[in-house]
Amino acid sequence: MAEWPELLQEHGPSAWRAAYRIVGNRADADDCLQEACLAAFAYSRRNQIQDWRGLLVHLATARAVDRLRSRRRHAVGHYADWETIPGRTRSPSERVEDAERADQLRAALARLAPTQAEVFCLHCLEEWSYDEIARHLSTSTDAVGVHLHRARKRLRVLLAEFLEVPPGPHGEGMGNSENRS
Amino acid sequence: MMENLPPNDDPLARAEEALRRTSVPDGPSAETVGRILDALQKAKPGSRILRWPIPRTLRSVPRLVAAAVFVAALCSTAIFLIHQQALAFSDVAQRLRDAHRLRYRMTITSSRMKGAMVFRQLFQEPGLVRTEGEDGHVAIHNLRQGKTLILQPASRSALLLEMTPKPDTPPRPSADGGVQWLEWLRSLAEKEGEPAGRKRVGHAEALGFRVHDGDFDEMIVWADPKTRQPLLIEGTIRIGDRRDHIAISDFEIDPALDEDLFRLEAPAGYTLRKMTTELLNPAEDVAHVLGTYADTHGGTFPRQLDDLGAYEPLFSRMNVRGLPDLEAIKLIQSLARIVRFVRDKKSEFGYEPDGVRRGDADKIIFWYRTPEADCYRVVYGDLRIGTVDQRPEEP
Repeated sequence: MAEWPELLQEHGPSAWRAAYRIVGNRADADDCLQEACLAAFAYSRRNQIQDWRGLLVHLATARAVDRLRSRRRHAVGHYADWETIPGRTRSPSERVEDAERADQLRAALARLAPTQAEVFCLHCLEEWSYDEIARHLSTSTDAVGVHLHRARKRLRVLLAEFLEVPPGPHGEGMGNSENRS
Repeated sequence: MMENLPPNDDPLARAEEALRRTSVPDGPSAETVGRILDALQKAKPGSRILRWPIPRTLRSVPRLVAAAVFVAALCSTAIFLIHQQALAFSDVAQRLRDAHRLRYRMTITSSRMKGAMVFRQLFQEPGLVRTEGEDGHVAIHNLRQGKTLILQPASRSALLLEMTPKPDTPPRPSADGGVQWLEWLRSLAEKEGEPAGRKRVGHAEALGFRVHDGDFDEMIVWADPKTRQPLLIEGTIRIGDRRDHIAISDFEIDPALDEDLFRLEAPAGYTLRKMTTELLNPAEDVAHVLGTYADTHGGTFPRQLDDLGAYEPLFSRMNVRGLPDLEAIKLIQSLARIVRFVRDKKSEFGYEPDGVRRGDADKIIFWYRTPEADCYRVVYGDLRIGTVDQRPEEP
């Protein structure tokens, strides 16, 4: 049986931070970590865990993506802590722009298929390799690449909608609804 | 990873960079870790079995002494458990529900507010509520008459508001925040509380009950096991984009209250204004608020219906200094009812502002299932209100 106080002390912060970056506030990150720990506990009763940190980060990321989607479904505003204000070394206007862009990306992630959103977050925010993601999602590295490609394609369209400008050279057109969740 | 990123003119690359640059705290608080460990403990099979590890120091003393110490510890624990079982959550909650008169103090803190908001609330049957703010303002509600008197001593001004229900709208409780808190306190008797430990509140060793309530992320009722009286109710509530910490304390159950405290008359020397407002249904409230928002936001609508922060600029052009004008009062009332509606209905409604602008007559921006009929009331992009038989599809 895993010693949870030690596990939480060692790996809890990484998983919590992964969730926090996605949801943008402490309360939701707390809930994501708790749900991730309970899911990991249930999983560990049936399986031998080799990589607790990876498991907790993956589960917390998945819960955070769920939370983003739930916010959107229920049309409930999200609460961003003041702590999330980006980079103190940047100018006030840059910080505001960063905060807006981060919020837009969160809103766009909420509209992706869950697996695409998870893969995107793990690769682009947590800097996991394709191999790591494939191992934790029990899939192939090729499939990870496909998910990531589709996620980026759809995110560009969604961000262009938020900005009310044409998708530009990196997007594939406003009418694309291939990956709508 | 970085080499795969598109150049800096790509909105996605910039958004990714912005999100990565976001400042993230070091980790969860000790309180959160404790809560998670508690949850894991409950999830473990056989978690009800308590283990009593004997400290190393006790191993070196004679077995008889160790046993005596151990028995003493068990006895004190047993006394605690007996006390805990003797005080049921329902005893505490029913005292609040059955009170004919009630007085308590409420403190609200939020990361978006400087300092705390403190007010005292008094209640007396039948349906009389008085809220006294720390800044001196007073609101007196007569729920049966649908009237509210607001007093502002600083400007010696008073405002009497009368709410007139529409013939086709069933009467609903007041949307005033203070009244909602009172209703909520009395509804605790319908909920269940599970033991949440003990802590000192004032001079009493209080027992806690964790109550699962949809309005609260976390809420604990602390009560005195001797008097069975609530001592402190604390929790965190989410209202739109805000997360507020609430503490309700200094409870007095059935205190003597002077009837004059609830009189709907302005004191001598006050300037009295009277206003009448209509009780709107949810679609009307939403159309009203969205229309006011769109007027000042180029025909666009807020991204979330209950994001109170998004509506703040609307009040800047209204008279909200001193006692607010009728336009501001109506907007505040509609917003309060919308916040309550969103909390109560949760998934029984939809709000989809993406791609909708004011005037889009063919796009539904808001819908909900009417309680009285098997149909859906909808608000279109041109803020027209209609009814449809089928649930509108979410995009």
